[in-house]
Amino acid sequence: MDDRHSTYTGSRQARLMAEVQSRARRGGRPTSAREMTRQRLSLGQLLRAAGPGLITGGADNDPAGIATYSIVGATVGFTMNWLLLLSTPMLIVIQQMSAKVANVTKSDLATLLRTSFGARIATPAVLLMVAANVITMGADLLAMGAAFELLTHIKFIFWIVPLAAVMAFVTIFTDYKVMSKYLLWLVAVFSAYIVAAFVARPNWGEVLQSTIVPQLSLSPDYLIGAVGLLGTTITPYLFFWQASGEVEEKRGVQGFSRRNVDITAGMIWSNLTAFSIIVVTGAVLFSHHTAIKTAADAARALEPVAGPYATVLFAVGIIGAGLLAIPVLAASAAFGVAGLAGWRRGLGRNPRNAPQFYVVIGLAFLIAMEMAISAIDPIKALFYSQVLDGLIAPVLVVLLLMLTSSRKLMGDFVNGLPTKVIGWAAAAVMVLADVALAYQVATNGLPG
Amino acid sequence: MKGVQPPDTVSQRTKSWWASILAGLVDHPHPIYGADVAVTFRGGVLHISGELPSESDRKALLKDAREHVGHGIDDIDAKHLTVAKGKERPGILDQTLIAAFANPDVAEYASKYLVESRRVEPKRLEILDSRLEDRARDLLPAEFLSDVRKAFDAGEAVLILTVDETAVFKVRELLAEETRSLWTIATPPIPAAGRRD
Repeated sequence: MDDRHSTYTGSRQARLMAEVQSRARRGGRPTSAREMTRQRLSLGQLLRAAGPGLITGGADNDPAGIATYSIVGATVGFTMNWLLLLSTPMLIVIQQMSAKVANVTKSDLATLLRTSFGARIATPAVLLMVAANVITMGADLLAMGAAFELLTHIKFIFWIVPLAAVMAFVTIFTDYKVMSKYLLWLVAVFSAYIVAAFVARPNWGEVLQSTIVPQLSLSPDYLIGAVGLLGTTITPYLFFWQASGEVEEKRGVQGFSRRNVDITAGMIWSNLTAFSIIVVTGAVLFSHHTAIKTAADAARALEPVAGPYATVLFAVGIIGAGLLAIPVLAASAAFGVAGLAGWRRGLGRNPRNAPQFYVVIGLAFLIAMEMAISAIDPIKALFYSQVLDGLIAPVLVVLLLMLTSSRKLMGDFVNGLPTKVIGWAAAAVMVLADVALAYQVATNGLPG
Repeated sequence: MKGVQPPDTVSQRTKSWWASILAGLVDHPHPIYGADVAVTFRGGVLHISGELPSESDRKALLKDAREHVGHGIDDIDAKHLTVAKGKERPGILDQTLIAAFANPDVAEYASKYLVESRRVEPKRLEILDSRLEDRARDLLPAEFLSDVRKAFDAGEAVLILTVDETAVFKVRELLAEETRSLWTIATPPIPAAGRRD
């Protein structure tokens, strides 16, 4: 507070502020904006604040994420559990920073990148996120097509165009936010993985050891899995979505304590589901040396809990996750581009009121659809889209850290030491994984 | 965001908005609520949707709408016209917005639009150009003076307004989208001057 106070020296505002603060100190009242917004929450309030986060946290695992966790579990077993545990506080801190910067500056992330770093840095950063989103959308469309194929035995490729058309229509012409509340229940089927983790009877001693004790390997399979896992867990689109959501809902700084509980609960739940997917696929598929080549292979991991219905359960979950995630990916891309260009934006607006925003959404669907039709292997597309996210994420995490550590922008709400340490550690871990992967690919080529 | 309006301006604009709605021009933004309110006509029924700042705003808008029933409107559907569920308390924090405009006249026009048409109640509002650079030092934290100086060097004027933190999202959106400011930035929230605990 003292640093900030010095900036007002000699001004009328400085005298006013000094008076307010001196009065506050005498009366034992809070002396900074941050203290004034800090709340002690009772257990009941904590539980109420955590509720919405648990629901949205469930939605954070899109089809690409589920495929990535399944492949990681099937390929390297439990050996990356420690990375998921390590990434949980990092994910929480990064999402909290995204929410905080939006509520303090009243801006979305793309606008802030443009106004703080200039177009030269903001444009490539946002366009990389847009590219990763569109590729992930294409991969998610493929996954949904594969899920419909599991249910109907009609080839997945025939589902791509109708699915893209329906979702584009829903996102552009209806109230997606209302619809998403219902779609969340479809995604709830993925909590079946938590039950399946127990039914599959993994060696819990081994699971616990691999979760607590880091196991490092420089094999290409391990490194690409690590980058994919980090990319799908700490996903760039989530930063933009979180910040844009705060701006669209006009939340403000007074509810930070509740927001942080909400975000923490959501991210823990999201990673608990991810952890269960790895444990189940590790126990069921890795132990039997079964690689995931198709959606049907991935669905097999649910057999211990769902028996013959494993395929149906998996397909319904993937369809729900896709319906929920694809519009979010398209909207995040549009929020980014519109923020860069200074266009009107928001899913709460109608297309006539924010035409460019919705044109970007439409274009994202068109390109993703084209990519999905052209792609050959849905599972590989899903996985590599997350590897791309893993390569982009550290750049955005560093920019986000710089924004939230700026006293000019954040004032009393500037990052504290624990946030800085966890945030920079996240960036360092991701950069290390990216560099190690780049070295391996340069020397040994891409793993099959 | 509440406040007393110059009745002539606002009521005249509201009347002409209703006239344009009855003429089928449903895309025109509402003079007070702008894009927060959307209207469509289907089979003689006027569907009003959107989110208003308070229940009294909702009642006032519906009262206006009902006055036109029988004059081009058969019925009104306001199922999707809601009131914002703000959990934040006003009077705790203040925040200052800085917006750059091509010249002081445009900034003046923008400030009138905010206060008279969009019911913004600033705690402080000043328009500065390069002749008043010293005044900027009194009003703003030192970190923001370089931004203001750049605007002055480019021959631009800045509008500096302090509002309650709970209104900043809306005011920033209005400045960026409705008044077409060249850029808009918000200084961080600070304890409200003269707040009551």
